[in-house]
Parts: sequence; structure tokens; C-alpha cells
Amino acid sequence: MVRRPDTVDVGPLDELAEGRMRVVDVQGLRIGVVRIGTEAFAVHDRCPHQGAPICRGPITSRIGFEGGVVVSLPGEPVLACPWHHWEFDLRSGKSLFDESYRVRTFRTELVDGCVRVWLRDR
Amino acid sequence: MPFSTPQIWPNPLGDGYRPEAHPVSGGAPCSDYDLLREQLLEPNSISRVVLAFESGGYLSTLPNPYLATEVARAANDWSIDTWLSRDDDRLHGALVVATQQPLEAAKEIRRVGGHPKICEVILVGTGLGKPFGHPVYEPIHEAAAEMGLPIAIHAFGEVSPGANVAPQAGGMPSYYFEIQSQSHQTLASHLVSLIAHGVFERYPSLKLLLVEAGVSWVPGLLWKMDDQYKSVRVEVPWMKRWPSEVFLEHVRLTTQPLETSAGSEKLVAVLDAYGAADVLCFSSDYPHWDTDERDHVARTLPRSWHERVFHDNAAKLYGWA
Repeated sequence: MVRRPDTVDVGPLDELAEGRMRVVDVQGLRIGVVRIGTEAFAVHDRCPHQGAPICRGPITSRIGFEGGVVVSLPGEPVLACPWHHWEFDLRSGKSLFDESYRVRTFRTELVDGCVRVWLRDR
Repeated sequence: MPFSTPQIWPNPLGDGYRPEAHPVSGGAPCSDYDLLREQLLEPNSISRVVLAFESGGYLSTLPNPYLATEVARAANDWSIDTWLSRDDDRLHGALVVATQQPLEAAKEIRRVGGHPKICEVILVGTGLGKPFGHPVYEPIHEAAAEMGLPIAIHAFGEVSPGANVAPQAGGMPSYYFEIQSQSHQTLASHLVSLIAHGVFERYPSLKLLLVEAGVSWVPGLLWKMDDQYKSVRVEVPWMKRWPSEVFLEHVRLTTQPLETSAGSEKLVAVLDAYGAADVLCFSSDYPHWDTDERDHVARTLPRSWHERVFHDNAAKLYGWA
């Protein structure tokens, strides 16, 4: 069995469409990469609930209720599963309703403007 | 045959379907045979599937009863031509009727109910504003029993704008959240009605399938009916057996959406309280957003139940055993 690389490069950050997942397959491991502003996020394309390809789901924000108005809260982006709509904090991978459910996340870094995803953290 | 009604309580996060269930070539989700095979039949090793219409079932809430009856006939012919006539032994289907006209519905059951691939009569929404045990629906009970077809009642029929009863007791809901959380309410009403009116006493071979309202709400209702049977049976003298006993013999439930939030152990304890291992029939609800995966259901329910829930209970219900 071929060992997966420690990292995978997915190209220039500014070529990633804002808020739109790009899924890369690294020897069978599907990873979704998305740009939010000047940051890149990477998650395993598998929902911990029923195994959905979660990266097909919408990226939203937390929704709040302030002063009698439903509002979109700035801050951490949220990934919602396209099947059962479970929501996860894109940065931590933690579910918004129970932190024991997590989507696997991967550390990213920018190398000369390009996004590198760390499959094994050091 | 496109037929649908506008949604008063739309899903807040999407169109109600799995994104990948939309055929690339266009058309409605689950309208493409190859995609159905690829996404449902083959990955789940399904030997038989029941195609149960989708929003077409809402025809029972059309205000015009004559139109509804014709739409039902057309829908059944379309289903037979488009799906059930395919060279695929796995495909079986419901026949849909317009409940606004029970006599016409009975004719329709007799017209197409003998098709070898038709396996149930599906009711989606009460066309006359009475729960389905009411004697006004007697022609439907009689025809289904005569044709040897179970009656399936699908939740959510009453969310259609044309429905002449509220989708929940106590007042009109505001949110999709409420609709989804209380989908069992109308099915509970239909179930109690069918038992209270003695439908299963008159038609001992008739079976009932309750579709898409979850499975955990049942035991409390059965216990309440048994309590009433002890106290006020004078009002319903045709009832000869405990309601819970009638339920176990005549009623089956589809599994989706399985209520798993409390964990498998607690859910199974609730299910065990009414003998659900012999009642539940696996259902996916594909291609809807809240489809339950086979493996998810398998992980949740005890292994000793699997043969019955994934095969035997449905096979007996449909006479495939």
C-alpha cells in the first residue's frame, strides 16, 4: 500500500472561488478545500452522521436572533451537510449542536500564495 | 406528468432533495432509472423497492374531486408504463387514489390493483376531512381488502395548501421545524380512527402501513388506546380485541426518519416496548434530503432485528414471502 503524502498542494489561493468547495482526491481520501476571504480551509468530504459527501453542502454562517431580528452572524464559517443539514464549524470541524460530532479538518498553510494542505500534522 | 403543489412550509436549507439525486440531464429527482440504480438499488443491495409517488400524492388535497380522480388514474397508468413495466424485477409500486371520491377510488383500486407490480394503495391526505377509519372511506377499505393490497398512509398529506384539515392539532404551525417534528400527528389520528371504527374487525386480512412519520411515538398511543378500551368500550362495541393487539397484527411502520438523537440504546428500548422488531419495514425516503442510509439503520437497530426489518416484515406485508 502506497503511503499518502504528508501534504498536498491545491494551487493558488486566489484561484479558489470564494465559498465554493474544491474537492481533491488524495489516494482515496477526498478533501474539500475552500477559500473564505484570505484563508483556506480543508475538511474530509465525509459527514460523521451518515457518511454524506459533505463538501457538496452549502457554506453559511451562524444564524442568530438579535433585537427581534434573525441575523447572519459574522465570524466563523459553517459547513452544512447536503443530506440532513447538520452544521459544522468549518475551522474546528465541530458540530454546532454537539461537539462530540466532528468533521475531520486539515491544517492549511500558504506557500508563495499557494494552498498547502497538511494531511498529517506535525 | 408534472404535478405538484406550492409549499407553505418550505425546507429552509434546500429544495428538499439530495443534491446528487437531480439527474444531470435535467428532470425531477428520482426520474432517472439509471440514477436510481446507481444511488439506491445497487449500493443498498435492494431486492425489491416500492415506488410511492412523491408530491403527486397530494392529489387527494385538490379541491376539484373530478380532476383529482382523473389525475390519480393518469398517475397510476404513468407509473405502470414508466416504471413498473421495466425489465427490472426489483421495481414495485403503490397505486394512488383520490380520497375525495371513495367510490371512484375503489374503482381505481380494482382497475389497477391486480397488476403484478402494484403492491399497496397509498393515501396522502384526507380528501373529505375525516380520518381514514371513518365509514365514508369504507369503499377504499373494502376494495383494498378485496384486492389483497395493504393500505399505506403517508405522512405530510395535510401540509398541502389544498388540504381541508390542519397538518397538526392545536393550530396552524409556523415553521418547517414544527411540521417535521409533528409529522406523526396525522398518522396517529388515522391509526386511532381505523382501530376505533373497527375496520380491521370487518376486514381481517387488511393491513396498514404508516409511512414516514418516525417510529418512537407508537407505544404511548397504544397504551392510551388500551386504557380507553377498558373504560369506554361501550361506545365502540365492534371492537373485540385490545387495540395494541390489533396494531401488532395489522399495522406496520416504515423506519425513516429513525429518531436517533437519544442514542440507539434508548430508542431500541422504546421500540421493544411495542414489539417493533416485527413491525418495522426499512425505508429510505430517497431521494429526499433526509434519506436514511441502510447502514445507518443497521447500526442503530439490533442485529437480531435485521432480517425482519430489512426483509421479512415487508415480504409478509406485501405477500412476497
